[in-house]
Amino acid sequence: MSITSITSNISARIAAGVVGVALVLSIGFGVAVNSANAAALSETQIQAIISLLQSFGADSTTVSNVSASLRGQATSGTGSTTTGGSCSATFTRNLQVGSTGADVMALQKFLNANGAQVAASGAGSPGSETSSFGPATKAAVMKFQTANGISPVSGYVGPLSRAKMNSMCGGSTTTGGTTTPAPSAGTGLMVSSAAQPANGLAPAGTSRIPFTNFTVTAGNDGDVTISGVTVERTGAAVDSNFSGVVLIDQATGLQVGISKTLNSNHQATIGDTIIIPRGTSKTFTVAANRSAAGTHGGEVASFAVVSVNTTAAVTGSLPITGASHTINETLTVGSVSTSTSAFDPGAAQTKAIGDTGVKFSGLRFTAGSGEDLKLFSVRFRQVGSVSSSDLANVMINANGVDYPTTVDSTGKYYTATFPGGILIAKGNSIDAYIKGDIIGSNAAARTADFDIDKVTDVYFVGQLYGYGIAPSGTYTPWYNGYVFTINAGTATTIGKATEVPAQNVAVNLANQPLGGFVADFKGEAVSVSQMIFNFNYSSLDATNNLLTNVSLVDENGTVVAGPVDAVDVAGVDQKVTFTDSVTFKTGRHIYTLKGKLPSSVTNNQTITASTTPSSWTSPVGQTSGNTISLAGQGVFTMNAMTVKTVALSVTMSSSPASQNIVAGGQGVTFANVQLDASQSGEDVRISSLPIELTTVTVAVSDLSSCQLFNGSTPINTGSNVPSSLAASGSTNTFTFDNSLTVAKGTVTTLTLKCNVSSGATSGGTFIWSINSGDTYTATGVTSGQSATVAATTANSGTMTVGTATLTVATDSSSPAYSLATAGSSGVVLGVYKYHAANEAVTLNRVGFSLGSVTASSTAADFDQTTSLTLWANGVQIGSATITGANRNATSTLSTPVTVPKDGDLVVTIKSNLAAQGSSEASHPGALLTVDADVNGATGNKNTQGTGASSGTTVGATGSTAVSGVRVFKTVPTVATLSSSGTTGSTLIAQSGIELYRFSISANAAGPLAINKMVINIATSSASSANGTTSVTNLKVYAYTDSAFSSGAAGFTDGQIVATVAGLVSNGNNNAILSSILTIPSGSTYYFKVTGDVAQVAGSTGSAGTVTTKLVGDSSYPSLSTLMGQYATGLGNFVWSPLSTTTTAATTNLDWTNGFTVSGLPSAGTNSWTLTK
Amino acid sequence: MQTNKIALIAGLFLLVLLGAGFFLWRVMIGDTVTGGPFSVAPLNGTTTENTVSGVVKVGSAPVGIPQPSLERAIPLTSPDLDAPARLATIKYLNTSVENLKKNPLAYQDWVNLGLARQMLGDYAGAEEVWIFSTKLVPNESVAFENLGNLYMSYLKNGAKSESFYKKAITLNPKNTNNYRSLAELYTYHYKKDTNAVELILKEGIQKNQGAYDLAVLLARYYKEKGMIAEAKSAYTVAANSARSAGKIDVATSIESERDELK
Repeated sequence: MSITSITSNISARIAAGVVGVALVLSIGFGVAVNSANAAALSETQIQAIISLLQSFGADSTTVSNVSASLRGQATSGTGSTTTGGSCSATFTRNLQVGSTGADVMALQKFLNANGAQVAASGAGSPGSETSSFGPATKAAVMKFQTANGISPVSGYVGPLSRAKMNSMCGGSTTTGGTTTPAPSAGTGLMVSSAAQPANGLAPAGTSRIPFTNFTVTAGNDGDVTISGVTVERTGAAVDSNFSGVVLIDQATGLQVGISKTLNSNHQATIGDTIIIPRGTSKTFTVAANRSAAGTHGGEVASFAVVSVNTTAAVTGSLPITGASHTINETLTVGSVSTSTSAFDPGAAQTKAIGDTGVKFSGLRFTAGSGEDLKLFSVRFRQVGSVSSSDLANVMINANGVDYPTTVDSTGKYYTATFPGGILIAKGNSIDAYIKGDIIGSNAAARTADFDIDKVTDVYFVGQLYGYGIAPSGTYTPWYNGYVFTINAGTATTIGKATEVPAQNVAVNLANQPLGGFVADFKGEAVSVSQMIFNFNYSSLDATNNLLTNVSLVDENGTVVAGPVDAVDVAGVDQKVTFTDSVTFKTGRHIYTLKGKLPSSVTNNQTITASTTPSSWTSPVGQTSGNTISLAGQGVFTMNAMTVKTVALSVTMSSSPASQNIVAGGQGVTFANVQLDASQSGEDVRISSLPIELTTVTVAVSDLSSCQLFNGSTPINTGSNVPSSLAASGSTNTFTFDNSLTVAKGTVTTLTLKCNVSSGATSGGTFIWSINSGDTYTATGVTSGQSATVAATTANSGTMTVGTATLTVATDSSSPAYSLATAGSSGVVLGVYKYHAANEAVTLNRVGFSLGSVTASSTAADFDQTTSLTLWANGVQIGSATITGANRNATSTLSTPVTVPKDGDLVVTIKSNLAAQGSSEASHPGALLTVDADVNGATGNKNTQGTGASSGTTVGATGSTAVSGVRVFKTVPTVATLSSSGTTGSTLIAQSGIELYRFSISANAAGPLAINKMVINIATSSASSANGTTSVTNLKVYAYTDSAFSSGAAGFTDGQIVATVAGLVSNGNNNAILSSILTIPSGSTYYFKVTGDVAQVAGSTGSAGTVTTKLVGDSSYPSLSTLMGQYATGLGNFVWSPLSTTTTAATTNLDWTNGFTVSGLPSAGTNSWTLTK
Repeated sequence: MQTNKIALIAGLFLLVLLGAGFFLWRVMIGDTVTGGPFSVAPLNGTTTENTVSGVVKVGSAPVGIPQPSLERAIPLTSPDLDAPARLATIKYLNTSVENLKKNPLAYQDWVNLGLARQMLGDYAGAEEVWIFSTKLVPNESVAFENLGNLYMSYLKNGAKSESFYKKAITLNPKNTNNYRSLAELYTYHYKKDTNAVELILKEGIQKNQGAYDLAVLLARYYKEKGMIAEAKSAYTVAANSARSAGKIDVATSIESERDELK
């Protein structure tokens, strides 16, 4: 530790001790000490003080209070503490109507707390004080002045009133408890110079030319209020150069207060009442607005801050002088002109609570020809009587974009700033308007009025010279917006309700729907003391057909008016008058008129209700008490209701169509009977239904357990199920367990199902019928009146007894034959299609057999490997294995699936392809074909299912013939290569021309060998004009790299085929390798075919083509074993998968041909054609 | 002369340094310096490496990928195998294990081991060795295909299944089984974009001219979606392809299915 640090530590400890003792004295014994000084201590110092205090033996309360005080926190009182009284501020300026600011709010609070209440409720009431001095505040001030003997009683808060109020705010005493230091006026303000603008020009007509920057800092003991700053123009210039001086808040860029002109002392006091919170700083700019061009160019002017007007003690060095600007009378700067925006309402408006996006006030700014402008901010002043809480989503839309506003503490000034500025090119215009939502019931009867006070409330900056540009104009307010008066409740819509549709109604029944309407009020609930509704019949006089018991019912079924009876209106129509006071809630609500139609009203008569809301009596807002205008809500007509008697029609559906059914079928659907009450005035009840049955060849006794179903519910059960059916052609009456209600306006379908005897004769038919001659009985549910039943004679589809069948075939999506690599899983071997006829069949057993075509698999070829899985619709439904010497297998499905009646089910068969090798059992070249096995005795076939209806076993017939996959240890892949690096497609008549390139790959499962290829050459036909093109000395090379630089090992220069000497014929040319070429596993070899090209010119020169490709095979070689020894006759492309040996030999039974080798179609690969 | 001596000493130092570095590297990758699995000379030349661009490397030990254990419990039951098949498959599994003990870089034996494990119901075991196989030979499609099927059919992870099938298609675009399987995945197990099925089948048809089975599946997809014109067109493509392949009966069946469309 250095001496310096020791000294420092000692000093800190001494300082801390002094401060600590002072604090102890202050808190413990009430000696006044400025705690704010202590609050600036560091944590180390605070801890030192606490330690010192504890060493003195101070009690814990004292230690706690000292600690809190040192940190600027509230303390727990230990005795008497003097705090602020019932004021939240000291009144330092005179206040009057129109004043705004925090001190106005403080004034209202003072008045409310001292017997001179500003308002009993709403704005100005206790807890809702505002920052605006209006008539109510004035009245309260007068009340205060009267009570305190202040004369004159003017409502003006001058020195006398302020003195009285400040004296009453002098303080009060509390004892014990937690106290919070009362806000108090700060006593000190430091003013200092800030970074100053550079010297420059002060062109004529510009505004906000920055001259002097300064910073004010309030002390820690309280907020400091500044009531203005006095500035003085200095330098060799005249005052008339400036039209005004302004103060700019650097933090916001906004002007504070209004522009002032210089007095005879070259001074002006600028700014407004500004509160500098304790311990904070604020920096301002003194700026000046240039007057119009004069004759003082070249003069140099400055502005000095000479005093700051405040009651606090000002420290610092004054005056502060910033830039000196040269007066310029010639520079043409930009300008902006203003007009009323098309978005401005253009006239006073009336709006309602709940209205949104209301455009209150708008201007259009047009940039002059001097320079482009940018608009940085706009400030509106709301001078109406609404409070800021009456509005929401207040935005300033500038140039089509909404910008949020901030509202100041007075709730009156709404400012939006535009980051980066909004560019207005020379001569162009933008619109700016303020808009918002009107909310809250308190807004009723208030006004909203958005003005712009001063030209400097819109802030433009020229983009060429960078000077502030202000619109012209001296009015106050500069832009006077229109007044919006706010109504409370309004009716948005009162009209026909589609929710109460046109429908059938019955006579002589209560509560029949007569019409419906929707009422949509906003702002507040509205009550109406009387409403009249008129009713008209389509062709009846009202006199003897009056409605009775008419009520108005809301959407919850609650009667809100009535019931009353209708009265005749001139014998033509009738009306109902509700004199109940009905309150319509805010929002959209549905109301229904219900009543009773007299029995004298005839069938198919319509009745229509109407009303005229504008004639409803005394609509009153329930919050505001205002009378609500319904003037815009004229007469409307509701949906017409049609009078219908009780009616039911009975018909037989055309579904199900005629079809086959199976003997033994259970719950077979025979018919659908439709009960139609769409033309009924009320719901219809029916308890039984007569249906006729006609049979041919079969007997009625072949049907049993016949039931009608309403949906899935049987409606005749137990003894109501006919134990026997009537003779063919006779009526069977189905009696329901309970009466069935068919709602008016609806159709109910009953499904007739029966069981079919297993002995029913095949080919016999059943037909069920509705016969109009039968007796049908139904009644109205409410009225009990007999319904008029209209039955239409009709038959169901003819149901013919047949036999269920199940067939299987190869599905057309079954894959084609392919080569596959051993070790693959989930390989699709085939896809079967099962078809069920006459009834659905649940497939529960599937049989398989290995194929037996030439060179195909035997059971042993696959040994343990033939594991099959069965899939239907993505779900595994079963599995099977074929093992040992077996050729067949069956799979009892783990998840039986249903083949739909007269429909198909597709089942996919997948397998895993086991490994092949010297130690593996699976045989190279085995063709894995697995087909359906439908063998077996009737009733126990290898593939069978169960009739979904009859429950009988249904054996499958048919067959499949899947293509299968041939499994090798490894398989080649052939690809034609690009001609890049060769002569391309150009034919050159010279030797060793590259005619074709291709590659052969062995997959990673193992190497493969090749011993023969066939190269197909096609030269263009000779002609007298083009001459002859020929190829000789065909050669084939193999390389291990794609750059064709490393020849295959074991061959001279990679040439794998002895030169095919002489003239190469058009067509296939055998290219038998000079020795076996082995391609390592996972490797690709690259091949090229070359030839000597010659051309004999014709009469027009030499022209011709040479086309070259590799040829595949069209079928698998016919062998006595799965694979054979090498022989040229095996095919065009002879290769070996080296299944069981590591070295290829022509004598191995391990060779095959190129049939379905990937990339090698039987007709040949993609060819190269060289052309000249 | 002095210069040569310095060069010789520097060369020897460099060799010693390389040797030490190689020793350290083998220790770091978990290889035992003597007698470890990767020190055994592989059989059948499967470690033959051809470093020419475009050639699949076989037998490259995947750095940082631990070799799966060859000793793993066989599940007590195998859902898809009866008793004889299960015994045969266990034998098959043991053969693969013995082969791998001799040559732990034999790709095909890893693939076979996975196949045996899957057939026996050890899906996690199959997953482990097939993923290892994809690292061992990243350019070979079989292990990717098998993983695609494993995740679709048994482990029920649609996203992984899709990923492996897509990789398999990239490696071997000629295997139509992969397109079919991916279409099945999208149809039943991993429903994604509304036209994912259509896109994958179209890709399969485009890359495998003549794959009439994929064209039939595409036609049925369109039919299911009510896109009758597109379905008829796809059926026609399928029928023509089948006819070109000599599958006259298949072509006739496809045309019949097409003509039933309303």
